[in-house]
Amino acid sequence: MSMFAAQRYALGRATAMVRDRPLPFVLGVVLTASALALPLALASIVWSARPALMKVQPAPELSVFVSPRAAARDVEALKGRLGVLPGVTSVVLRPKDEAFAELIKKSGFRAPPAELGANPLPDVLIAQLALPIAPEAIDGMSATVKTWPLVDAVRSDLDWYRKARALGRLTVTAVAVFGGLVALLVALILVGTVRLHAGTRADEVAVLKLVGATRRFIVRPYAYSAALTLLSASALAIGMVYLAHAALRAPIASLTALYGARFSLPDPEPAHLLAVFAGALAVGWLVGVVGARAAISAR
Amino acid sequence: MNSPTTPNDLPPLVTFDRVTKRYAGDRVALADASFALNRSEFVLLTGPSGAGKSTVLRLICGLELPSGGQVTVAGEDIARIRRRALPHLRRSLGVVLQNLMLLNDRSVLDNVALPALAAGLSHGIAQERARAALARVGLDADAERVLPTALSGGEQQRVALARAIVNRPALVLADEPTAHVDDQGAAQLLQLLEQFAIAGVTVLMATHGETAPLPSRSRVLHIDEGRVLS
Repeated sequence: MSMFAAQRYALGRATAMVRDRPLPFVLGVVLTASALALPLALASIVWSARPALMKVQPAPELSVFVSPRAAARDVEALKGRLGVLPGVTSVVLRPKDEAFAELIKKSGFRAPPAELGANPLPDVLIAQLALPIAPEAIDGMSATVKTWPLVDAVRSDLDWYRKARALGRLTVTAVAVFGGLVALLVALILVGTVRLHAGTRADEVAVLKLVGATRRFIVRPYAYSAALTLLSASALAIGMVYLAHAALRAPIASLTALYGARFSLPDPEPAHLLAVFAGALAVGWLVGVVGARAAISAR
Repeated sequence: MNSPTTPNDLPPLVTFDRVTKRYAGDRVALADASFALNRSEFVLLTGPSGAGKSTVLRLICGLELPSGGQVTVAGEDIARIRRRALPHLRRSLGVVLQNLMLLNDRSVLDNVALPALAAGLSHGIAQERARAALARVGLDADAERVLPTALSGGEQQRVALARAIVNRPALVLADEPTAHVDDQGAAQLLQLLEQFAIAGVTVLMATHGETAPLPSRSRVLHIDEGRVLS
């Protein structure tokens, strides 16, 4: 069997269908593109925000507050013990005298107020942790260090970071779910459209069956047609995203500059564009097959 | 030494064995019908409108299933044939239905080439065969480029016949092929069908009226109220 001839026939019929009904095709493309543009735009914004979020990501730290009773050599011993823990990349000592001097300076005093008496601040050992590290591992390490002698308290200041990460995950999931729902809705509408279209060509389907065409042969032009619709819609949706980026780039740059940050909306990457087009072709083909098969009886 | 096999030594191409077909409302279109079509035979299926002639043709094509009995085509039981095998069986049939079912959104040549393309032949070979089939039914090269709607009723009948023979079928089914043509056109069509039969093709032609002159090699099956009488 000449597959090339069958594909050529199907492609020819698909383009003829578009040529015969240009307005419904254009309307279908515009509607589908409008529906796809919103999740694509959201996804591109989230993707663009990733580098900025990576920059503000702090290295996870563990702050160990040493007891005031600890002598300098005790602090050094603790520092050494902390440094050999698995996952710890470095340990920095923040001496209490240095911290006290900074506190006084930031408070605007020229000399320490008499009411404070002796330096009340503890020596602090700051352990930098290697990435990636699970929050549970940090919690376990904190609990272990807390049991050591001459350690008053241990704090991991990652709570806000965890919240930010959770918010980020929620955003990505929400965009994915929203995009998935839109894609599903678009696919269902296209299935219905193809089904109706194949229904209007019942005479042609009857002739094809009569002359011995297989179901695959009958369905293939509709698959090409739906793939063409979704491919065109994807291209248009990406064009809309480009336009939205162009319109938003300057206002976003001005806004982020007010906060001392730089944030830009880069255009979609070629790999992403290819993925969108490939996905559109595959989904379009599938939608065409399902829609046409639904319209064609088994015999 | 074995004698050469003649078409009549082979088993019948089509058999109807006590076939009944009921439609919704218990209307009986075919009742206990039994007959056979031998190879390269020209059979006229005659009877009044609504007698069940079209039902016979639709059962042979596998467009409908019998309510009772057995229909076999080329040894295949139509009711038991696998869905995937049905298109292959249909490619061995050439069908001219009463309403012709030509596709008016494409040229005559594309209409005729369609069965060949559906059978998996290349575009070039399909077109070549379509041209040969059109020539066989007496349509010239000028007709192939136009839409079927641009042709007369008789010419459209010929296009439908060309489409039916393009895959070189073993059996041609024609439902009232002379219904929309004048006497001269009808005689030419009959002559063509007879030539197919002489060439080894089995022809089953359904007609409700008198068809004159009857081809000399023809056999008549008369059907009335769903019963095959001869």
